Amino acid sequence: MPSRKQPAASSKPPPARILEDLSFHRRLWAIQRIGWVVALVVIALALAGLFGSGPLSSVRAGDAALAIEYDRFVRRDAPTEFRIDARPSAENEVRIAFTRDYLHSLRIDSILPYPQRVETIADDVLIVFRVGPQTPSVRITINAMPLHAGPLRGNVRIGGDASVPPIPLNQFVWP
Amino acid sequence: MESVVRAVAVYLFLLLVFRLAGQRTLAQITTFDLVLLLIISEAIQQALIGNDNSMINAALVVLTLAGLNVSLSILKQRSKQAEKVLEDVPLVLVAEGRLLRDRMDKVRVDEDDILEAARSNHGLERLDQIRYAVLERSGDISIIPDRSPG
Repeated sequence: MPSRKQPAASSKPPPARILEDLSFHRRLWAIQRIGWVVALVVIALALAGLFGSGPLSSVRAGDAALAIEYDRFVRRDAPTEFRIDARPSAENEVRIAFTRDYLHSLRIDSILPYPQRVETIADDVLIVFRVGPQTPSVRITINAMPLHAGPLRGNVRIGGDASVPPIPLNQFVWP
Repeated sequence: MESVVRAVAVYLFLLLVFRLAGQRTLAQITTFDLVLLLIISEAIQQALIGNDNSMINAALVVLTLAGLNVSLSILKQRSKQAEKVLEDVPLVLVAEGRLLRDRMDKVRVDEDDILEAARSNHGLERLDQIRYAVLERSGDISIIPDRSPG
């Protein structure tokens, strides 16, 4: 202890006993530093889209016959959007088939345009849209909420047309 | 089941974040600290109750939070180590009138903060009137004035 400014040290009462633990504080400070780095990494990953919308998350798959845009990382009970572009069949219909279990893991809030009918065929749910003549492509927007946390897998294809390959849907639902 | 899991998850998350952020983060030193506290509670509230506005959900969440708090306080009572980890330990920042700079840097407290605490609690105006300054677990700085004449 430097003694430069303490001439009357003996006249003072003895120093207060304050419970402290410097080694504990040193450890705590080190852990806090690590915590801040982890927080920064988490924020950076969130900006990139690991926990929801963002470049890491957005997926576009398919071709002119059937294409789908969706988020790879979604959240339970939070809205997410699917955008589907499909070429109508010769019967002026678009038939979108989703894996049944996949569709049942979602709460569908809206489908635009409104489907003409919905059918269940084997393990698929078929959503059929009526299309006007000479329509080259139809855009369908589905708003839904995932119901359960964890991986969510399924696929989407054109119902009754084996020439168009099914598009796998790989999503992860954060709690 | 979900109400309890949500409450536990939110409780533990907040505990971790505030321990990592440090004692003084939300010690309500400035008006903005209070505003921040309000925003955080607003953000957490939705996650805590989810889409379930039922009475039973609110009751379960409150019961779980209160239960966790009581359990942790029992744990702190029994184990000194747990108390340190969960609630921190006071840290001396001024000893016998001497500023402990390295410690002050670590907890982001400067001379002005200490002088402010000295002014508001004891009406002291100079650093040499302070014998001890301690950063308490609440994030407040407590001042022990120098009673010696001069």
